[in-house]
Amino acid sequence: MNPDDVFPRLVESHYPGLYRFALSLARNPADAADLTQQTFYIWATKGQALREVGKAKTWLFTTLYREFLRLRRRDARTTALEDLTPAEQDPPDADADVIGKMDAELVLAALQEVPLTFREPLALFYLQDLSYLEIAEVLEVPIGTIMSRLARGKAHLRVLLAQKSRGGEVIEFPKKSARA
Amino acid sequence: MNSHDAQFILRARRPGERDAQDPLFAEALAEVEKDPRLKAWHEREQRTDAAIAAKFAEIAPPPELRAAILAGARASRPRAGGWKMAPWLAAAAAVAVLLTVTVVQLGRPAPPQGDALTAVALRELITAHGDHDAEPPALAALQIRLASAVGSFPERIELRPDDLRRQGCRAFRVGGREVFELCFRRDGIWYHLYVAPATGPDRGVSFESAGQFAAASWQRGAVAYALATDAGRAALQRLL
Repeated sequence: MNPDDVFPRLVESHYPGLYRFALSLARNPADAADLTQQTFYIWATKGQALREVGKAKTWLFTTLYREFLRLRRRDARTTALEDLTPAEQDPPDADADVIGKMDAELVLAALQEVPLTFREPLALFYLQDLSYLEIAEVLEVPIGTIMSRLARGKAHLRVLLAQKSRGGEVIEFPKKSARA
Repeated sequence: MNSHDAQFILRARRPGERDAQDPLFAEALAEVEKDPRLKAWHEREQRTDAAIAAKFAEIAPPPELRAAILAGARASRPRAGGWKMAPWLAAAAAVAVLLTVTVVQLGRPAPPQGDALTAVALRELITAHGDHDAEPPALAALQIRLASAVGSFPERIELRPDDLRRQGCRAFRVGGREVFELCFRRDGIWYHLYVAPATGPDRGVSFESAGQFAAASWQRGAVAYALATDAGRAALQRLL
Protein backbone atom coordinates (compact mmCIF):
# COMPACT_ATOMS: atom_id res chain seq x y z
CA MET A 1 0.00 0.00 0.00
CA ASN A 2 1.20 3.50 -0.79
CA PRO A 3 2.53 5.01 2.47
CA ASP A 4 0.47 8.12 1.74
CA ASP A 5 -2.68 6.00 1.90
CA VAL A 6 -1.81 4.32 5.18
CA PHE A 7 -2.16 7.35 7.40
CA PRO A 8 -5.69 8.43 6.36
CA ARG A 9 -6.82 4.81 6.62
CA LEU A 10 -5.40 4.48 10.10
CA VAL A 11 -7.04 7.73 11.13
CA GLU A 12 -10.35 6.60 9.65
CA SER A 13 -10.21 3.22 11.37
CA HIS A 14 -8.97 4.17 14.78
CA TYR A 15 -9.56 7.79 15.69
CA PRO A 16 -13.05 7.26 17.16
CA GLY A 17 -11.83 4.40 19.36
CA LEU A 18 -8.72 6.27 20.40
CA TYR A 19 -10.81 9.32 21.20
CA ARG A 20 -13.19 7.27 23.35
CA PHE A 21 -10.31 5.64 25.17
CA ALA A 22 -8.73 9.06 25.71
CA LEU A 23 -12.04 10.47 26.90
CA SER A 24 -12.42 7.70 29.45
CA LEU A 25 -8.89 8.37 30.73
CA ALA A 26 -8.71 12.15 30.61
CA ARG A 27 -12.38 12.75 31.42
CA ASN A 28 -12.78 15.87 29.32
CA PRO A 29 -13.26 16.24 25.55
CA ALA A 30 -10.52 18.81 24.97
CA ASP A 31 -7.85 16.66 26.61
CA ALA A 32 -9.18 13.60 24.82
CA ALA A 33 -8.99 15.33 21.43
CA ASP A 34 -5.50 16.55 22.26
CA LEU A 35 -4.32 13.07 23.25
CA THR A 36 -5.81 11.58 20.10
CA GLN A 37 -4.10 14.13 17.91
CA GLN A 38 -0.83 13.75 19.71
CA THR A 39 -0.98 10.00 19.17
CA PHE A 40 -1.34 10.43 15.42
CA TYR A 41 1.39 13.04 15.39
CA ILE A 42 3.72 10.57 16.98
CA TRP A 43 2.67 8.02 14.39
CA ALA A 44 3.39 10.55 11.65
CA THR A 45 6.91 11.06 12.95
CA LYS A 46 7.84 7.65 14.35
CA GLY A 47 5.15 5.08 13.80
CA GLN A 48 5.63 4.81 10.06
CA ALA A 49 8.86 3.00 10.83
CA LEU A 50 6.66 0.19 12.13
CA ARG A 51 6.86 -2.40 9.39
CA GLU A 52 3.77 -4.39 10.28
CA VAL A 53 0.77 -2.19 9.68
CA GLY A 54 -1.30 -4.92 11.34
CA LYS A 55 0.30 -3.93 14.64
CA ALA A 56 -0.61 -0.30 14.20
CA LYS A 57 -3.78 -0.61 16.27
CA THR A 58 -2.03 -1.77 19.46
CA TRP A 59 0.82 0.66 18.73
CA LEU A 60 -1.62 3.57 18.60
CA PHE A 61 -3.44 2.58 21.78
CA THR A 62 -0.14 1.98 23.57
CA THR A 63 1.18 5.34 22.42
CA LEU A 64 -1.95 7.17 23.51
CA TYR A 65 -1.79 5.48 26.89
CA ARG A 66 1.90 6.37 27.33
CA GLU A 67 1.18 9.95 26.38
CA PHE A 68 -1.59 10.06 28.93
CA LEU A 69 0.77 8.74 31.59
CA ARG A 70 3.46 11.15 30.58
CA LEU A 71 1.09 14.08 30.98
CA ARG A 72 -0.26 12.90 34.23
CA ARG A 73 1.71 12.00 37.29
CA ARG A 74 0.13 8.82 38.43
CA ASP A 75 -1.30 8.56 41.90
CA ALA A 76 0.31 6.03 44.18
CA ARG A 77 -1.58 2.82 43.92
CA THR A 78 -2.13 1.29 47.30
CA THR A 79 -4.90 -1.11 46.41
CA ALA A 80 -4.09 -4.79 46.33
CA LEU A 81 -5.13 -5.28 42.77
CA GLU A 82 -5.12 -8.99 42.46
CA ASP A 83 -7.40 -9.79 45.39
CA LEU A 84 -11.06 -9.33 44.64
CA THR A 85 -13.26 -8.52 47.59
CA PRO A 86 -16.25 -10.83 47.96
CA ALA A 87 -18.55 -8.00 46.85
CA GLU A 88 -16.48 -7.52 43.71
CA GLN A 89 -16.60 -11.20 42.95
CA ASP A 90 -20.34 -10.90 42.95
CA PRO A 91 -21.27 -7.41 41.75
CA PRO A 92 -24.88 -6.30 41.56
CA ASP A 93 -26.57 -7.30 38.34
CA ALA A 94 -27.02 -4.46 35.89
CA ASP A 95 -30.02 -4.83 33.65
CA ALA A 96 -29.03 -4.57 29.99
CA ASP A 97 -32.47 -3.12 29.20
CA VAL A 98 -32.03 -0.38 31.79
CA ILE A 99 -28.59 0.45 30.41
CA GLY A 100 -30.04 0.47 26.90
CA LYS A 101 -32.43 3.22 27.94
CA MET A 102 -29.76 5.35 29.63
CA ASP A 103 -28.10 8.27 27.86
CA ALA A 104 -24.68 7.43 26.46
CA GLU A 105 -23.32 10.47 28.31
CA LEU A 106 -24.56 9.04 31.59
CA VAL A 107 -22.94 5.68 30.89
CA LEU A 108 -19.72 7.47 30.00
CA ALA A 109 -19.94 9.54 33.18
CA ALA A 110 -20.23 6.32 35.19
CA LEU A 111 -17.24 4.84 33.40
CA GLN A 112 -15.23 7.98 34.09
CA GLU A 113 -15.93 7.64 37.81
CA VAL A 114 -14.37 4.19 37.98
CA PRO A 115 -10.88 4.47 39.55
CA LEU A 116 -8.24 4.89 36.88
CA THR A 117 -6.51 1.57 37.50
CA PHE A 118 -9.67 -0.27 36.56
CA ARG A 119 -10.94 2.28 34.09
CA GLU A 120 -7.96 1.82 31.77
CA PRO A 121 -8.64 -1.83 30.87
CA LEU A 122 -12.39 -1.34 31.15
CA ALA A 123 -12.48 1.40 28.52
CA LEU A 124 -10.39 -0.71 26.15
CA PHE A 125 -12.64 -3.69 26.83
CA TYR A 126 -15.82 -1.78 26.00
CA LEU A 127 -14.29 -0.36 22.85
CA GLN A 128 -14.29 -4.00 21.76
CA ASP A 129 -11.41 -3.45 19.37
CA LEU A 130 -8.86 -5.18 21.56
CA SER A 131 -8.80 -8.62 23.14
CA TYR A 132 -7.72 -9.03 26.76
CA LEU A 133 -4.31 -10.12 25.43
CA GLU A 134 -3.98 -6.90 23.43
CA ILE A 135 -5.22 -4.85 26.40
CA ALA A 136 -2.47 -6.43 28.52
CA GLU A 137 0.04 -5.47 25.82
CA VAL A 138 -1.20 -1.88 25.61
CA LEU A 139 -1.20 -1.35 29.37
CA GLU A 140 1.94 -3.43 29.85
CA VAL A 141 0.58 -5.52 32.69
CA PRO A 142 0.28 -9.31 33.04
CA ILE A 143 -2.80 -11.06 31.68
CA GLY A 144 -3.97 -12.19 35.12
CA THR A 145 -3.82 -8.61 36.33
CA ILE A 146 -5.88 -7.46 33.39
CA MET A 147 -8.51 -10.07 34.15
CA SER A 148 -8.78 -9.08 37.79
CA ARG A 149 -8.85 -5.38 36.91
CA LEU A 150 -11.62 -6.04 34.42
CA ALA A 151 -13.60 -7.95 37.05
CA ARG A 152 -13.13 -5.19 39.62
CA GLY A 153 -13.74 -2.46 37.09
CA LYS A 154 -16.99 -4.05 36.00
CA ALA A 155 -18.10 -4.33 39.60
CA HIS A 156 -17.39 -0.63 40.17
CA LEU A 157 -19.09 0.35 36.94
CA ARG A 158 -22.24 -1.61 37.67
CA VAL A 159 -22.63 -0.02 41.06
CA LEU A 160 -22.22 3.40 39.44
CA LEU A 161 -24.63 2.57 36.62
CA ALA A 162 -27.23 1.35 39.07
CA GLN A 163 -26.75 4.55 41.05
CA LYS A 164 -27.09 6.76 37.98
CA SER A 165 -30.05 4.88 36.55
CA ARG A 166 -31.89 5.54 39.81
CA GLY A 167 -31.14 9.25 39.65
CA GLY A 168 -28.10 9.39 41.89
CA GLU A 169 -29.24 7.23 44.77
CA VAL A 170 -26.19 5.70 46.44
CA ILE A 171 -26.09 1.93 46.22
CA GLU A 172 -23.29 0.19 48.04
CA PHE A 173 -21.67 -3.10 47.31
CA PRO A 174 -23.59 -5.87 49.07
CA LYS A 175 -22.03 -6.73 52.43
CA LYS A 176 -20.50 -10.16 52.77
CA SER A 177 -22.95 -11.11 55.50
CA ALA A 178 -25.91 -10.02 53.38
CA ARG A 179 -24.88 -12.38 50.63
CA ALA A 180 -24.53 -15.46 52.79
CA MET B 1 -11.42 -25.32 35.97
CA ASN B 2 -14.36 -24.78 38.30
CA SER B 3 -17.35 -22.50 37.98
CA HIS B 4 -15.66 -19.66 39.88
CA ASP B 5 -12.59 -19.78 37.62
CA ALA B 6 -14.81 -19.82 34.54
CA GLN B 7 -16.69 -16.76 35.76
CA PHE B 8 -13.44 -14.90 36.42
CA ILE B 9 -12.11 -15.69 32.94
CA LEU B 10 -15.35 -15.00 31.09
CA ARG B 11 -15.57 -11.48 32.48
CA ALA B 12 -12.73 -10.72 30.07
CA ARG B 13 -14.62 -12.13 27.07
CA ARG B 14 -16.02 -9.52 24.73
CA PRO B 15 -19.67 -9.82 23.78
CA GLY B 16 -20.33 -11.76 20.60
CA GLU B 17 -17.93 -13.95 18.69
CA ARG B 18 -14.82 -11.77 18.65
CA ASP B 19 -13.01 -14.02 21.12
CA ALA B 20 -14.39 -17.28 19.77
CA GLN B 21 -10.96 -18.62 18.84
CA ASP B 22 -9.36 -18.04 22.23
CA PRO B 23 -8.57 -21.43 23.87
CA LEU B 24 -8.85 -20.02 27.40
CA PHE B 25 -12.41 -18.91 26.75
CA ALA B 26 -13.19 -22.20 24.99
CA GLU B 27 -12.30 -24.05 28.17
CA ALA B 28 -14.40 -21.70 30.31
CA LEU B 29 -17.32 -21.99 27.88
CA ALA B 30 -17.15 -25.77 28.15
CA GLU B 31 -17.69 -25.27 31.89
CA VAL B 32 -20.64 -22.97 31.13
CA GLU B 33 -22.32 -25.72 29.13
CA LYS B 34 -22.20 -28.01 32.16
CA ASP B 35 -23.73 -25.57 34.62
CA PRO B 36 -27.15 -23.97 33.93
CA ARG B 37 -26.65 -21.30 36.62
CA LEU B 38 -23.30 -20.34 35.14
CA LYS B 39 -24.84 -20.31 31.70
CA ALA B 40 -27.59 -17.91 32.79
CA TRP B 41 -24.98 -15.68 34.44
CA HIS B 42 -22.83 -15.68 31.30
CA GLU B 43 -25.76 -14.72 29.07
CA ARG B 44 -26.63 -11.83 31.40
CA GLU B 45 -22.98 -10.77 31.52
CA GLN B 46 -22.71 -10.74 27.73
CA ARG B 47 -25.98 -8.79 27.33
CA THR B 48 -24.90 -6.21 29.89
CA ASP B 49 -21.46 -5.84 28.34
CA ALA B 50 -23.01 -5.48 24.88
CA ALA B 51 -25.36 -2.78 26.19
CA ILE B 52 -22.50 -0.82 27.79
CA ALA B 53 -20.31 -1.21 24.70
CA ALA B 54 -23.16 0.05 22.50
CA LYS B 55 -23.52 3.12 24.68
CA PHE B 56 -19.78 3.72 24.59
CA ALA B 57 -19.87 3.51 20.79
CA GLU B 58 -22.47 6.29 20.71
CA ILE B 59 -19.88 8.77 22.02
CA ALA B 60 -18.79 10.63 18.92
CA PRO B 61 -15.46 12.43 18.61
CA PRO B 62 -15.66 16.18 17.96
CA PRO B 63 -16.59 16.75 14.31
CA GLU B 64 -13.40 18.66 13.54
CA LEU B 65 -11.02 16.13 15.07
CA ARG B 66 -10.53 13.87 12.05
CA ALA B 67 -9.87 16.81 9.75
CA ALA B 68 -7.46 18.31 12.29
CA ILE B 69 -5.47 15.09 12.48
CA LEU B 70 -5.20 14.79 8.71
CA ALA B 71 -4.37 18.47 8.28
CA GLY B 72 -1.70 18.16 10.96
CA ALA B 73 -0.13 15.23 9.16
CA ARG B 74 -0.11 17.13 5.86
CA ALA B 75 1.58 20.06 7.57
CA SER B 76 4.27 17.75 8.92
CA ARG B 77 5.26 16.27 5.60
CA PRO B 78 8.83 16.99 4.61
CA ARG B 79 8.96 19.54 1.87
CA ALA B 80 10.34 18.63 -1.49
CA GLY B 81 13.92 19.76 -1.66
CA GLY B 82 17.31 19.00 -3.11
CA TRP B 83 16.69 20.45 -6.55
CA LYS B 84 19.59 22.25 -8.08
CA MET B 85 19.51 25.53 -9.94
CA ALA B 86 21.71 26.52 -12.79
CA PRO B 87 24.22 29.19 -11.58
CA TRP B 88 22.56 31.93 -13.63
CA LEU B 89 19.18 31.00 -12.24
CA ALA B 90 20.55 30.98 -8.71
CA ALA B 91 22.03 34.44 -9.20
CA ALA B 92 18.78 35.77 -10.66
CA ALA B 93 16.84 34.22 -7.82
CA ALA B 94 19.20 35.75 -5.27
CA VAL B 95 18.69 39.20 -6.78
CA ALA B 96 14.94 38.68 -6.86
CA VAL B 97 14.93 37.56 -3.22
CA LEU B 98 17.08 40.51 -2.22
CA LEU B 99 14.76 42.92 -4.00
CA THR B 100 11.73 41.29 -2.47
CA VAL B 101 13.23 41.35 1.01
CA THR B 102 14.17 44.99 0.59
CA VAL B 103 10.70 45.93 -0.57
CA VAL B 104 9.10 43.91 2.21
CA GLN B 105 11.45 45.37 4.82
CA LEU B 106 10.72 48.88 3.60
CA GLY B 107 7.04 48.22 4.12
CA ARG B 108 7.54 46.79 7.57
CA PRO B 109 6.63 48.64 10.76
CA ALA B 110 9.23 49.76 13.25
CA PRO B 111 9.96 46.89 15.63
CA PRO B 112 8.94 47.51 19.24
CA GLN B 113 11.62 47.89 21.90
CA GLY B 114 11.96 46.26 25.29
CA ASP B 115 12.40 42.79 26.73
CA ALA B 116 8.72 41.93 27.20
CA LEU B 117 8.10 38.70 25.35
CA THR B 118 5.49 40.21 23.01
CA ALA B 119 8.03 42.88 22.00
CA VAL B 120 10.73 40.23 21.59
CA ALA B 121 8.40 38.13 19.45
CA LEU B 122 7.39 41.06 17.22
CA ARG B 123 10.96 42.26 16.87
CA GLU B 124 12.15 38.80 15.96
CA LEU B 125 9.37 38.39 13.46
CA ILE B 126 9.78 41.80 11.85
CA THR B 127 13.55 41.97 11.66
CA ALA B 128 15.27 38.66 12.08
CA HIS B 129 13.03 35.76 11.27
CA GLY B 130 14.49 33.28 8.81
CA ASP B 131 13.00 30.34 6.95
CA HIS B 132 10.82 27.62 8.40
CA ASP B 133 12.70 24.60 7.20
CA ALA B 134 15.33 24.40 9.88
CA GLU B 135 13.39 22.69 12.68
CA PRO B 136 15.10 19.53 13.93
CA PRO B 137 13.13 16.32 13.23
CA ALA B 138 12.58 15.79 16.97
CA LEU B 139 10.35 18.86 17.01
CA ALA B 140 8.19 17.77 14.09
CA ALA B 141 5.62 16.12 16.35
CA LEU B 142 5.35 19.26 18.41
CA GLN B 143 4.98 21.41 15.31
CA ILE B 144 2.14 19.24 14.08
CA ARG B 145 0.51 19.37 17.44
CA LEU B 146 0.64 23.13 17.43
CA ALA B 147 -0.64 23.18 13.86
CA SER B 148 -3.88 21.51 14.82
CA ALA B 149 -4.32 21.83 18.57
CA VAL B 150 -7.95 22.13 19.55
CA GLY B 151 -8.96 24.85 22.01
CA SER B 152 -7.25 27.89 23.43
CA PHE B 153 -3.46 27.86 23.32
CA PRO B 154 -2.98 29.34 26.80
CA GLU B 155 -5.17 26.54 28.15
CA ARG B 156 -3.81 23.74 25.99
CA ILE B 157 -0.12 24.30 25.44
CA GLU B 158 2.36 23.45 28.12
CA LEU B 159 6.03 23.37 27.13
CA ARG B 160 9.25 23.18 29.07
CA PRO B 161 12.26 25.21 27.96
CA ASP B 162 14.56 22.38 29.11
CA ASP B 163 12.77 19.92 26.81
CA LEU B 164 12.96 22.35 23.90
CA ARG B 165 16.67 22.86 24.45
CA ARG B 166 17.23 19.11 24.55
CA GLN B 167 15.29 18.69 21.32
CA GLY B 168 17.45 21.22 19.55
CA CYS B 169 14.83 23.94 19.23
CA ARG B 170 16.03 27.19 17.71
CA ALA B 171 16.86 29.67 20.49
CA PHE B 172 18.28 33.12 21.00
CA ARG B 173 19.13 35.26 24.01
CA VAL B 174 17.39 38.48 24.96
CA GLY B 175 18.11 40.40 28.15
CA GLY B 176 20.02 37.41 29.51
CA ARG B 177 17.21 34.92 29.03
CA GLU B 178 16.99 32.13 26.51
CA VAL B 179 13.98 32.35 24.19
CA PHE B 180 12.92 29.34 22.11
CA GLU B 181 11.06 29.68 18.85
CA LEU B 182 8.72 27.19 17.21
CA CYS B 183 7.05 27.96 13.89
CA PHE B 184 4.01 26.19 12.57
CA ARG B 185 1.54 26.67 9.78
CA ARG B 186 -2.15 26.53 10.38
CA ASP B 187 -4.92 27.24 7.88
CA GLY B 188 -2.33 28.67 5.53
CA ILE B 189 -0.96 31.13 8.10
CA TRP B 190 2.44 30.96 9.74
CA TYR B 191 2.46 31.34 13.50
CA HIS B 192 5.52 31.65 15.72
CA LEU B 193 5.49 30.53 19.32
CA TYR B 194 8.17 31.92 21.63
CA VAL B 195 8.83 30.19 24.92
CA ALA B 196 11.06 31.42 27.73
CA PRO B 197 11.66 30.63 31.39
CA ALA B 198 9.90 33.13 33.65
CA THR B 199 9.40 34.02 37.28
CA GLY B 200 6.49 35.54 39.15
CA PRO B 201 2.79 34.77 39.12
CA ASP B 202 0.81 33.48 36.13
CA ARG B 203 -0.40 36.16 33.73
CA GLY B 204 -3.37 36.24 31.41
CA VAL B 205 -3.19 37.05 27.71
CA SER B 206 -2.01 40.50 26.63
CA PHE B 207 -1.67 41.75 23.05
CA GLU B 208 0.74 43.97 21.19
CA SER B 209 0.58 44.90 17.50
CA ALA B 210 2.82 46.58 14.97
CA GLY B 211 0.97 46.97 11.68
CA GLN B 212 -0.10 43.54 10.53
CA PHE B 213 2.28 41.94 13.00
CA ALA B 214 0.54 40.87 16.18
CA ALA B 215 1.70 39.05 19.27
CA ALA B 216 0.00 37.81 22.40
CA SER B 217 1.78 36.71 25.53
CA TRP B 218 0.84 34.91 28.71
CA GLN B 219 2.58 33.14 31.55
CA ARG B 220 1.78 29.76 33.02
CA GLY B 221 3.87 28.12 35.70
CA ALA B 222 7.45 29.21 35.31
CA VAL B 223 7.14 29.63 31.56
CA ALA B 224 6.27 32.70 29.48
CA TYR B 225 4.76 32.27 26.03
CA ALA B 226 4.28 34.62 23.11
CA LEU B 227 2.40 33.72 19.99
CA ALA B 228 3.00 35.94 16.98
CA THR B 229 1.94 36.19 13.37
CA ASP B 230 2.16 38.60 10.47
CA ALA B 231 -1.45 37.87 9.53
CA GLY B 232 -3.05 40.32 11.94
CA ARG B 233 -4.63 40.17 15.35
CA ALA B 234 -7.78 38.38 14.21
CA ALA B 235 -5.70 35.41 13.03
CA LEU B 236 -3.99 35.36 16.38
CA GLN B 237 -7.19 35.51 18.35
CA ARG B 238 -8.46 32.37 16.65
CA LEU B 239 -5.88 30.40 18.64
CA LEU B 240 -6.38 32.10 22.00
